[in-house]
This record gives sequence, structure tokens and C-alpha cells, in this order.
Amino acid sequence: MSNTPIIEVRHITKRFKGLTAVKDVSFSIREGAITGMIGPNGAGKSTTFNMICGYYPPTEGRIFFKGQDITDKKAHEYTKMKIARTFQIMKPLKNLSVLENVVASCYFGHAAARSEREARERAMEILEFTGLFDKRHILSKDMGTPDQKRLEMARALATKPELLFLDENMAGLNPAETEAAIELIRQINRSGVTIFLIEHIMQAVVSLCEEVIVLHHGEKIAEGTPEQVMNDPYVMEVYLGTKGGAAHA
Amino acid sequence: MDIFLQACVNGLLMGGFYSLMGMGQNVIFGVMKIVNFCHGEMLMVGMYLTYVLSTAFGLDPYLCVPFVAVLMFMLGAVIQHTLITPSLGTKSFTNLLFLTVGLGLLLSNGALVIFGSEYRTIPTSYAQTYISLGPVNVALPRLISFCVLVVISVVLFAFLKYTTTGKQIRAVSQNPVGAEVVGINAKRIYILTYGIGTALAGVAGALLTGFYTIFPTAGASFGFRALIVVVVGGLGSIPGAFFAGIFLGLLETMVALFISPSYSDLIVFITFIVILVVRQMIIIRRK
Amino acid sequence: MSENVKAVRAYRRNVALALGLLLLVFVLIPVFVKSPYILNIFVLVFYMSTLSMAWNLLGGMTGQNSLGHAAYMGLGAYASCLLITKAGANPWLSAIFGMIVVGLVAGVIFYPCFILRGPYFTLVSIAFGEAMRQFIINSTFFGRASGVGLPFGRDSWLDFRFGSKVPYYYVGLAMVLLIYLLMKKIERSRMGYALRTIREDEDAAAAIGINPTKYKIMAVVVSAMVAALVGFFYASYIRYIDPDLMVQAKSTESVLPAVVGGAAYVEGPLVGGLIMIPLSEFLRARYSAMLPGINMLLYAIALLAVIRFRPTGILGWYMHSKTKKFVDEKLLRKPPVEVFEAVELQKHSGKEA
Repeated sequence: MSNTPIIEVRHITKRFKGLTAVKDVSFSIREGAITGMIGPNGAGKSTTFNMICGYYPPTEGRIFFKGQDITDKKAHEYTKMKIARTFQIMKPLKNLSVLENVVASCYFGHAAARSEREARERAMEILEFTGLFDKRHILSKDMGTPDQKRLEMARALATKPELLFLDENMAGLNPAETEAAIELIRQINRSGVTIFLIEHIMQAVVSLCEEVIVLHHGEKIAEGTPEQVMNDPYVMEVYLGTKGGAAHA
Repeated sequence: MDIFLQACVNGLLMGGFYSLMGMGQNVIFGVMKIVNFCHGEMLMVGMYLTYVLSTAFGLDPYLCVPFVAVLMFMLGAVIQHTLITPSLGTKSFTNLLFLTVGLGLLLSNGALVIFGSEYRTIPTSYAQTYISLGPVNVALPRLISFCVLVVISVVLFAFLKYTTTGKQIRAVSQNPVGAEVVGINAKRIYILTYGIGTALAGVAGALLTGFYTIFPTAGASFGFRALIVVVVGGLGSIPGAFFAGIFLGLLETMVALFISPSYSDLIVFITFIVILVVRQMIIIRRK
Repeated sequence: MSENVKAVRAYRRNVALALGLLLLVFVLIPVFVKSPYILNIFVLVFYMSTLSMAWNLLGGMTGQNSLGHAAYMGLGAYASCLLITKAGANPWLSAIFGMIVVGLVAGVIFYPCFILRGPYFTLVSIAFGEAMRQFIINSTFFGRASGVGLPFGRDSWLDFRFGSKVPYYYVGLAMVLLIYLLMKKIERSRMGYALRTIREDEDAAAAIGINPTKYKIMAVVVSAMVAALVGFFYASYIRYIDPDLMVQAKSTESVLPAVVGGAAYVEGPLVGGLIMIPLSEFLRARYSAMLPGINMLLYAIALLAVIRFRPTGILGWYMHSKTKKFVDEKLLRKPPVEVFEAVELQKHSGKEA
């Protein structure tokens, strides 16, 4: 792997009408790895995430993708750079079937399907990979949360990304479903996709991530391997101390 | 100079109606986040109600106002309960939009079927009475109407600000789920809100009858102007709607005076489009 | 496996047969029906359904609820009429010219407006329509409020001018079919998927690499061009246009067939138009002398009833009904979905080998 990180975030700050949601945060994501970002509610995780995904620009600071400045890129230009994302609040195309949801994704991005047949074929493959094949004819609004979360990933994967951003992909899942989701994320990673995720569930972060970044009150307070971070006294105080229950959730 | 002052006063008097319509629309949008596309038709229904009451019982149009308000409130409550509340559940914006559009069609064509397309007026002894205020002449009915609607605006503002029900309405408009959590019955508030909105439109109609002709599509231009008022004055802001209405009335008369009366509609619509787009650009920039 | 292929082929043949029969009925109607009154209703159904399909591309498929389609239709009618009367151009060429002009106007005007979402877009479309109408009323070039008439004369295909209604019937039918096929093509294309994704969620669309503004502009331009084509047809048929063509109520009228029929389906406007317009015309002819407005009152009631009780329209209701099941399984002998997929997969593997 090359030394240039796939994503490098340099001193980003975001202010909303005087409120500073994210303050001078810098970190980088190593190619091929699974990197996680954790932090209590309101720590600025989602804001950071949305800035990296181009949903709104940072007030200050720059974001680089493979050394190239992408701070001002629009959200819809990301798939061309082989970057895809999911949403914390699932956004399935409610009135379309699961298959059509994924077919829609196959039509766009850097490797957009050129024909309907190609799109359908690829969609079928991805449905099989994500375990949604049997449900392909169900309307996506009629599925439960775990399947909708899977569909979010399937839709993102259909754009053939090299880098995948997962926004709280396991929130609201029970332990068994979480386990299955972790397994799927590992598989995706093994197929060569770099993963950056933000998550509430400690268990998931600890077992999945090679590197963890901790945010608190909009600032980065720690980074390192899961063990390093978990043993950081400040992290234990602000995160585990106040949200001890979350560790078991 | 006299002509200019006269135009100012005329604009102000007309703008008052736009304000009243805008405030009704604003209360409805604030609480349910739907645009009431039949607001103008509600005004027209208010006009015909006044017409019926005054011809059947010989009531003075201004004495009809309280009756019209009550009847229109009931009409609004029934519509909300039977049509809008059930459709709110489907969360389909398209359906909600065409629900109110359909209601507008129903009301205006219902009026056409019942009353025919002829123009009607309610004759009063004071219709042609003019009052001189310095260099400006004002028709008495316009002046009375304006005073009444200023009073109504103030009462509405105070109602929303200080009464418990008013506070509940504001709570639902800010956070329907949160309001329901603290024990506010959102469905009741919806009924109340739509009732108040239609009552305001109906009262505006009743107040217009003193000097305006009554016909089935009389409400259309007022309905659209109410939307302009809401957008320009700010969603959910009652004082904003009041001043935006006055501004719109003045803009119309000024265009009529300085450019040409036939261009006033064109300029109002173009101004509106520009304001909408610029406003959205500012919002995006701020993000 | 070959059983499956046979079943699918048989089903496709049955569908083709049913559609062919339907088309044959429409082609033969003018041969047997000579009443100009009935033919007029069919022509009305054809062009109003086409206008409604134009709306549906933007409203039903993209989720941008325009209430200004009468303005595009009116502009198209004016553009082609003025070219015919002022420059003596051939009507067919002026129709193409009208479509291009209206497409450009819509694209340019709505480019800044597409940052507006939801109700704001609807408001702009209304304001745009009204502004256009007011502009025409105030412009001598457009003939002000009195409108523009097209010359009468001998029957001629070159000038698209006939005394009889039959040629208009066939041209109208061709127009409906052509636009229907176009819409069907769009629905299954990349653009169709982009538009439906935008309808469901703009952020989700951007996340998979769809540029929402670009596709919305494409939708509004195509939609406006189809509306302009309808405007040309209307002007050639009625041979007189005035600014009343563009009033707000006409825009609403253009939406009704789609919403009543089922806005989520390309066929929705056709079904809605075929049911609603003859009914409305019947009421107008029968009762409008005594009760003006009765036909629009019926429209309004139908619209409210559909939204209240069948929110997905007549087609949406049919799609989940027993009738469809019966038609599919017993009449058309539609095999189950799995059979289709098996055939599809088989075809592909056969191709690779």
C-alpha cells in the first residue's frame, strides 16, 4: 500500500450560526483499512461525516482524497471518485422494489452500467452478496430496519466504490443482527474496499476497526488502535463514564 | 403628490386583506406543513355566505362577520377531520397538495353550480360614502373593513402568544412529536388550526363584500397573494405576514401608478419568483 | 427450462395480442362512429392525456409538482401559431420550432428555480404560468387578450388543416402513442431511474452519483416540449388561441387525469384521461346550460375521492386487486416472476458460452 492516506482531513472546523459543531479536527484514513469514529451524542461525528461526504463544506480546513483536494466537490461527484456512503436515517427508494433500488445505483458512478441488462445482472450479484436476494421483489418500505440497513449498503456497493462511508449502520440492531452486519462489513473490506464508519456500538467498533478516532464536543480527543483508545483515561471518562450502558448495547 | 398619497392609502387598505389571508395560510402551514391551495376559495365561500345571510335575513354585511367566522370555522374543522387528517398519515406530499387543489375546485365550481357565474354585490346605504383624510378620499366600507381586520390581526397575535391553546398550536408547529409527548392532542390542534385558517379567510371575504363584487373565482387572486405573503413574510411569522401583506398591497398600487395598471400582476409574479430564488440562495449559502 | 421459455413467450404473445386488439379498436372507431361530437371527445382525450403524461414525467416520476403546464402548452401554441401567421412557415416545421423554443425557455427559467424544493417549486410554477399569461396579455406581438387565429382554408395535410375531425383523430392517436412509448422508454432508462430516485430522496440520489439539478432540468425540458407539442396540436385543431388557454385552472385540469389514474405509473394519465374526460364532456353537454361548472365539480369530487380512498389512483388500486390477478393468470397466462428470471439468466449464460 502507498504511503499517501486515502483520505486526509486537515484542520476542519464547522460553525452553524455561531455554534461550533466541529473544531479543528485532523485525521487520515489508511487505504485498505477499517477506520472507525466514535463519540457521545452531539460530539460532531455526523457533522464531520457529512463534510467529508460533500454534503456541506467545512467553514475552515481542507479535505484530501489520495492527495487531491476534494473540499469543494459536490455530493453527487463522489461516486465518480469511487467513494460511496450510507445514511444513518435510511433513505431507501420507498416505492421501488429492493431490486429496482439497487438497479438504480448500478446506473451511476464511475462504472455505470451501459444497459438495463448489465444493471440488472450487477444488481442481482450485489443482492446475493448482501443477502437480500430472496427479498428482491419486496417494496423497500415494507422491510424491517435490519434489511433496510443492508439495502443502504447494497445501494452504496452497487456504485463499485473503493472507499465506503458507513453512517451508524448498526444503530437499532439487536446483537444477532449486529453480528451479521459486522460479518458483512468484514467481507466488503476483504473484497478490497476501504471502510470508514461512525458508530455508537462499542462492540462493533472494537471488533471491526483497526484504527479508531474519538470525538468529544467537536474536538478529536484520541486516536489509535481500539485497545489504545479504550485504555485512554480521558476517553474512559467522557465516553464510557457517561455512556457506560452503550458499551453493552 | 396627492395621487401618490391616495395610492399609498389604497395600497395599504388592500394590503390589509392580503395580510389577513396570509396569516390564515401561515397558521395552517406552520402547524401542518401543507400549503393550503384552496385558501382563496375559502375567501370566496365567505363572500357568498355573507351574501346569503344579508339577502335572506337583511343583515348588514359587517354584522354577518361573526356568523361567517363561526360557520367557516365549522367548515374548516369538518374538512380537516374528514379529508386532511387521514391524508396526513400517508405522508404523500403530492396527494396533500392535490387534496387542497381539489377542494378549491370543488368550492369554486360548487359556487358556480349554485349561484351561477353572474357578478353579485350587496347594496348598502354607505357604499358610496367617502371620507376625506386631508388630501385623500377613502370609501367608508374600505376604511371600516381595514379597521376590523387590524383588530382581528392583533387578537390573533395575542391569542397565539398568550392563551394556552395558542401556545399549544405553536408547540405543535415547532415539534409535533414533542408536543404529543407532553400530552397535546395533535389531531385536535390540527382541527382547530384549519378551522382558524378558514375562518380568517372567510372573514376576509365577508369584509370584502362591502366594496367588491362576488363571483365564483373571486378568491383566486387573493389565494395566490396569500401564498406570496407567507413566503415573503417568513413561514410561521404572524407579524411577518402582516407587513408582507401591506408591502404587497403597496407594491401593486405603486406599479399601477408609475408603470401601468395592466403590468401590476406581471410585476408581482416576477418579484415573487425572484424573492423565492434569492431567499433560497441565501439559505444555501448560510449552510 | 424450455418450458419456462415457452410460458414466457406465450405470455408475451398474449399481451401483444391484447394490446393489438385495443389499438385496432381505436383505429377502427372513426370508421364506424361518424358523430363529430363523439370524435371530438376522443380528440380531447388524446391531447389532454398527452398533456397529462407530460405533467406526469415531472410530477409523478420526478416528484416535482408543477402547476404551470398550461403555460408550456400555451407558449407552444403561441410559438407555432405566430410562426405560421407572421412568417408563413409550414405548420409541421413550426411545431418543431415551438417545442424547441418552449424547451429552451423552460430550461433557462427553471435552472435557478430548481434549488427550490417541495411546495416552493409548485409556487414558482404557478407564478411562472401567471407571469407568462400576463406578459402575453400585455404584448401587442402576441395579440394581447384577443389572441391569435390560424387561417382557414382547403383541407391539406401539408398545412395540417381539415374540416373533418377524422384526420385530427388519427394524428392525436399517433401523438398519444408516440409520447406513451417515449415515456415508457424514459422510465426504463438511466434517466428514469435517476428521476425516480430524485422523487424518493434527493440526498440519496446525490449519494449514488446522480446530479439532481441536471436530471430535473432534463425532466422539465422534455415535459415542457411535450406540452408544447400538445399546444401546437390544440391550436391546429381549434384554429384559435388566446391567453385564457394558460389560466391556472387549465394547469390543474392537466394534472387530474394523472392523479386520478395513478401518478406513479406511466399509464396513469391514459387511464385517468380515458375515464374522466368522456364523463366530464358528457356532463358538460348535458347539464352545463342549466348548471355551469357541473363537469368540473365532478372532476373535483373524483379527485378528492381518489386521494381520500385510493391514494395511489385507479391503477394503483388495480395493481393490487384480484381483477389484475385474474387478468394476469387466467386471461394472459402470466408465469410467476421466478420463471421470467430463470429465462433471463438462461439467456445470459447462453450468450456467454
